[in-house]
Amino acid sequence: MVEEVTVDSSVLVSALVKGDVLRPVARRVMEKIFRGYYHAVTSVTVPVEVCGAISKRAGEHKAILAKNQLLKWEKTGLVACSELTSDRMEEAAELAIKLRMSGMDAVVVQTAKEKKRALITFDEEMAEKAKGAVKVLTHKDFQNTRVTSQI
Amino acid sequence: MTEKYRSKVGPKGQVVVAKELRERYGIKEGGLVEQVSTEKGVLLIPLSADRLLKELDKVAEDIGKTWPAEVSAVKAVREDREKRWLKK
Repeated sequence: MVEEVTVDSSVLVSALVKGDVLRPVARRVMEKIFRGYYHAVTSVTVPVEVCGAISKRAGEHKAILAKNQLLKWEKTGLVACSELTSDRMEEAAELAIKLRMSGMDAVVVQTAKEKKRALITFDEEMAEKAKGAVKVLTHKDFQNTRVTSQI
Repeated sequence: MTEKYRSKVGPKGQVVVAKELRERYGIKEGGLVEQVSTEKGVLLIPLSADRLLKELDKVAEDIGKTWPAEVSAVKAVREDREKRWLKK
């Protein structure tokens, strides 16, 4: 059965940077998405944040490469994006207040919470706070997993 | 060699790919295909997980070349999210 998940920027940036300490785990998460075990939905703000993080640290040209990957995943439905509406903004604001988390963290948690998706984040601070609202999977949950079959 | 197959378009634009072609290109139920607009029409490219991973690895290798080694992805995202507060 396909599991619905929400992926945080920390996972996508890690998957897109060779040499990142958690990249093998991030790659495993992406493999689960590519092989159809996971259907990923995230906030529209996440790809924007990923591109910004890469542009600032690796350069504009590299961020364009990342953007093209993210757009491809979005267009093919591998990592779909949930638009930010006023209802979602309100729910995210309530989460930010209740869980005392940053705005961006709350927007991503709201995406997961809306359809009871599991949130996948490698950010332990975010994971700890998000546990109050959604099921959370961190890098520790993927350390010893293997993906075998194909779509 | 070009082979031609004909199929009817369904009410929502669904088109059945011929069995021979599905088998040859590994198109299975639940799998994904990329639709590419070309001068002659729509080209369907099966999205294989292996190909997607290979593509991801290639992009990651390129980005990794200029990404500062001392900054982890988690740290980068956290820094960006908290920057406004740190600046104060």
